[in-house]
Amino acid sequence: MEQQNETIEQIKQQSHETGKTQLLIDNIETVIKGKRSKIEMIVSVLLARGHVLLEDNPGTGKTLLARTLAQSIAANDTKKGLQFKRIQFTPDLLPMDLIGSHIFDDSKKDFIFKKGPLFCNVLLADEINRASPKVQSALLESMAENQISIGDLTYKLQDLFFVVATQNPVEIEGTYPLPEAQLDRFFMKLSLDYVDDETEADIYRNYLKIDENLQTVKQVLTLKDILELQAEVDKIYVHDEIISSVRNIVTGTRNDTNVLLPCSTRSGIIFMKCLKAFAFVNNRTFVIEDDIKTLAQAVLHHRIIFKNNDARKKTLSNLVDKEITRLAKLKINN
Amino acid sequence: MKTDKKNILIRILLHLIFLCIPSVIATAFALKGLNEYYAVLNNNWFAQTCFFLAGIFTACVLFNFRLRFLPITAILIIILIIARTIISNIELSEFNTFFYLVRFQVFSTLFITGWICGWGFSRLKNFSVIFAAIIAVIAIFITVSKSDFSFIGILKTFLPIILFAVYIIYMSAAVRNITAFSRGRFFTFLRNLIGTLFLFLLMMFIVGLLMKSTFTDIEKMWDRKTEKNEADGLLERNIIDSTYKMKDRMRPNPTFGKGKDNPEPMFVACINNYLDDEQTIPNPLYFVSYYLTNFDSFTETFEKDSIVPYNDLFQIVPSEIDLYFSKTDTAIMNLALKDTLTKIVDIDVYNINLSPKEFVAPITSFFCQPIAIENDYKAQFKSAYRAKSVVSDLNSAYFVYPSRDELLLMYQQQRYDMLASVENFDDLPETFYSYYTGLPNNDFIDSLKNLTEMITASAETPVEKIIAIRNHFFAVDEFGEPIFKYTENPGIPGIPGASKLAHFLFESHKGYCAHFAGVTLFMLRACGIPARLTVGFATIDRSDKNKGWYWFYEDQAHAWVQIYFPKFGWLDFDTTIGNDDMEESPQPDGTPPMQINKANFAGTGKITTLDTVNKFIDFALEKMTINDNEYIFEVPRQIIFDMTSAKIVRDTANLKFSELSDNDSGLSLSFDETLDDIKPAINTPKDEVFEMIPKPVKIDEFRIDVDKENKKEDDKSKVDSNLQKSSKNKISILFICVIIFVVILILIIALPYIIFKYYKYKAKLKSQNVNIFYVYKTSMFLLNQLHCERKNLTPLQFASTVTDKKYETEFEKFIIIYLQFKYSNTGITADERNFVKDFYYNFENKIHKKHRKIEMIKRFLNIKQTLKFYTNNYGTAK
Repeated sequence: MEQQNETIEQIKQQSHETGKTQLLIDNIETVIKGKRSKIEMIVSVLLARGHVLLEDNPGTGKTLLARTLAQSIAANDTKKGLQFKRIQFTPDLLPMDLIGSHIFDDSKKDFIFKKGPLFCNVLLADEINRASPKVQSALLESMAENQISIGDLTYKLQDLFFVVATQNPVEIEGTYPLPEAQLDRFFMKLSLDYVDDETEADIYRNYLKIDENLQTVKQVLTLKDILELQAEVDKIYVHDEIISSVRNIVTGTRNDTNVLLPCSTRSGIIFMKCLKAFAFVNNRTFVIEDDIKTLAQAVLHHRIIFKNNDARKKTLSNLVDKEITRLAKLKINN
Repeated sequence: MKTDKKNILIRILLHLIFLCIPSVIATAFALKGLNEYYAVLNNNWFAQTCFFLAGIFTACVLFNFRLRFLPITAILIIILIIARTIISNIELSEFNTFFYLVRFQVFSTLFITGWICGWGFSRLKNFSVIFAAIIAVIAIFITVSKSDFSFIGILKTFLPIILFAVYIIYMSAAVRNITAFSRGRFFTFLRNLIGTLFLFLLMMFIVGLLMKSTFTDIEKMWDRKTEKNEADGLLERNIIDSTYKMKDRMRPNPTFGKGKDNPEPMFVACINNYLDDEQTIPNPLYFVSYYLTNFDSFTETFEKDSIVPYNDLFQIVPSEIDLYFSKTDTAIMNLALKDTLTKIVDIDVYNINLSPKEFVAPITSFFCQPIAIENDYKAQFKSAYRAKSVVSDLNSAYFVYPSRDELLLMYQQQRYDMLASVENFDDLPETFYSYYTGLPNNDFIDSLKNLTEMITASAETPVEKIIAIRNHFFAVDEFGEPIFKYTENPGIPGIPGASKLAHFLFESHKGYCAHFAGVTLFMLRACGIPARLTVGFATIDRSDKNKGWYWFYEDQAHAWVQIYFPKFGWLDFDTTIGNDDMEESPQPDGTPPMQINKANFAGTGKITTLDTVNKFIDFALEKMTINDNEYIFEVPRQIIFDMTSAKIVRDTANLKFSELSDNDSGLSLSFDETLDDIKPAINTPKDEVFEMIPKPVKIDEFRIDVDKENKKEDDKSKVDSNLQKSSKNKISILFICVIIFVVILILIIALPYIIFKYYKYKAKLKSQNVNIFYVYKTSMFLLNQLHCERKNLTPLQFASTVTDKKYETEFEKFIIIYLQFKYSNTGITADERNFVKDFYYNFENKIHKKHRKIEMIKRFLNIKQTLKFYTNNYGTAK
């Protein structure tokens, strides 16, 4: 009985916590219309302690989404909130502009470190593929290690460090496309797509309000809240069969002759993290096959190099469908 | 353009491999069967298959390109016609031209058939249906001609045909849609199968109307009243007691000399006929069953004629005569005895598998007396009779072939010398002569006459002509190979009509006894020699130990010719080329049964008084025979029998004299030599004969009648029950097959429902412990059967986007609970469990409301949907 009570307690608490994520998502939706599923995925990445790359045509709301998210959890004008920074990447940007530099302090007769915009909680890296590889790698190293090394000194970044990078697939000239190895750092690569006709019209009707809304977006979560939520995500239960399915998909890419670079073990781990977070965002304490189906493309696709276009379109979805069929027919008796 | 070409090539390859080759194989089997049926095909099925293959492949390749059928086929036909004209105009000998023409016609027919098939496969959508039906009809023909009506036989013939039909229909649809599999392919397939069945039945109906006579044979076989079953060749098997009798028609399979592994013995006979007076060289004689004297040119059949001039056929049913009593046809006897060099020969025949109703004896038989079989041999022999024939000294089975034995050669020469004295048939009565030299009028007979004239050009006397004709059949070609060959498989086992005989004589040179005999008959008659066809058994002397005893096997059933010589009578003449195998592996002749003494006296009647002291009995004699003369007393005569040395037999048991009683009726036999002298003349009154018998008669054997009527009834009921049994067996096999078929059909049809019920049962909806997995499975199965498939959606997506929208159910909620139950570590609460319990009935009700009942049943029983449920691997579909 006690145990049962405990679990019920837990569930209650969880629902309280998930209530917070719902709050966050709703808050973002006041500005960004018709993209709830994408928002859910981005929030999942946030809770999975990862980073997200948004890739789409200009004008699909990438920056707006990133800003709204940042504002919902961080406000520059309050001490309690998180720090939000935005960098517009350009070819002439230097790593220094990103991480900061040592400058000579006259009063102390010494060099002191002037922190760059990386020392924040939420970073919007706009048009990341326009920066030189040098800058890109500086950013990516900090994303991976969660720290910055300059000379002998190593500076730790914030506990919560969430990068929302965007890139523009249209302009090829003057860009430095991210190599697959670096894309690997991003938990998910999302494209926002165009909204449906109804929402499109709705946006036009209310376009005046967008800026207004953006200005009035409230901060709904504190840093503490987010760290707590991240801790909660770790508690999500994953059934062995789900784990097997994740493994099957990952190893499936390795056995496919149409794949040049298959999924790594790290990809699998990241997939697991994302699944847990996504289940949490969806108000569940366990992962189901729908999570796999929803996330597989966003999490795994950009990590694989395919031999041809046909394989690019089909391989992963075939693997996922096969696993879904397997799971759907599976008899599990607890 | 390039891909277009590649596609065409692939299509051609697919057609060739998956449609044409199997069709060619099926056709090969069909042709093989037809070859046995139609002699004109000349047993060359392989070449014929090649013709067909050439046709189908050419057409398949050509018609996969955009060629028009009609112009090209027209050109082809014109080419073939031109070729035919050229062949017929080439200066060859007449027969060669005829031969090549027939060959060419077979080729062109098969090529055109293949051509049409190739065209059909590559162009027509439902050609496979027609093709399958045609093959099925041919299969029926083959089965009919084989007369093998066992269940296994039918299965063997039809199972491959059915499999082939299913295959070809399915494959042709598959090859057609190789690029795009249509959704309703299963139904197309089913529809095509039903179409085949329908076409098949239609064809059978038409064919049945056209070939009614062929099918009546089969009907007869199934008809209980005819009591007959088909057996090989000239013999006919009686299904009741599995004995054989001679067939009334000439529809022989090759049986004479056929290398059958285990031919059944028919009967054993002892012929008391020897070439020399010391009785050292036995002289075997052919056993005659009946004659075919007339050729009906309308039906192209040899037939028995009931109004034969000078009929000397002794027709009798031995089993209808009482034991030891006899039937004698004195008219035949006198007719035959009138010829010179004749003698009366005794023949004993012991039936093994030959029907007791059948009577065979050497020419010219006139007497038949059924005799009892010793107890020791009763298991071996069914019945026995004695026969007497007027036999000419010139007649012998040895005279048939040129002998290697010098002594026999001498006798043979003697015979020819004697027969050479006959120079013409002028003395014969006109009716007799014209009847036995009658010929039909047709082209074949004309060409046969020419041939005969050529063969017998140098011969003068009839016997020289006969030898010339015989030598024609024994002729060898330049390599020393005999031109005429005996074959077991000359084509259609049927009545050798004129066309078949023509084919045999001029082309194939391969035939069995009926071919040889038929042609010989025509040739003899063409020379003006009176002749008739004879059907019976060939006699082969194989045993040195038991002289005069001959064993007759199934494969010795034979047909040959008899020739009439004035003054000498009818003589056997055989032109059939012997099968070498037969000489190499002779049948082992067994030990003959112990010959029973000739009964001098036989009498039936009733015992009136018994004298147990002297072992005498008073006997009321009703019927008696003395030395083969038969007397019937309307008023029983009292006679005293001396039973001191008599063996008393009832059925198979020996009795003591004391076991006899008054009023026992029976048959008394006496082998007493003193009775030998009583040889009454034919016209002696029976009273006088009765007085001639010395009294008391010493009786050697007394057979008590087992209550005759009872016995008869017993036999009858036995026969009836046998009949019923055999027909019952067939019916029951059929019935069982039908039942099995129906059960399988019902199972297949009801399978979805059974699965559904099983899941529902497993779900335990009524108990407290609802099995959520099976609730899920049941609902999914139900939805799947109603064409609401999950496809590649996850169950949750499926529930929210498809099911709930369509049926307004709470399926999504259920799925969420199910997923929690499935994947979480917390399990589900009691409330949720209760929800699941209520959920299902609501769910099913709502679904039922959405569909009409008939539609629901129709969809639900669709097995294809069930298969989909278990086989859908949407993930792997490319």
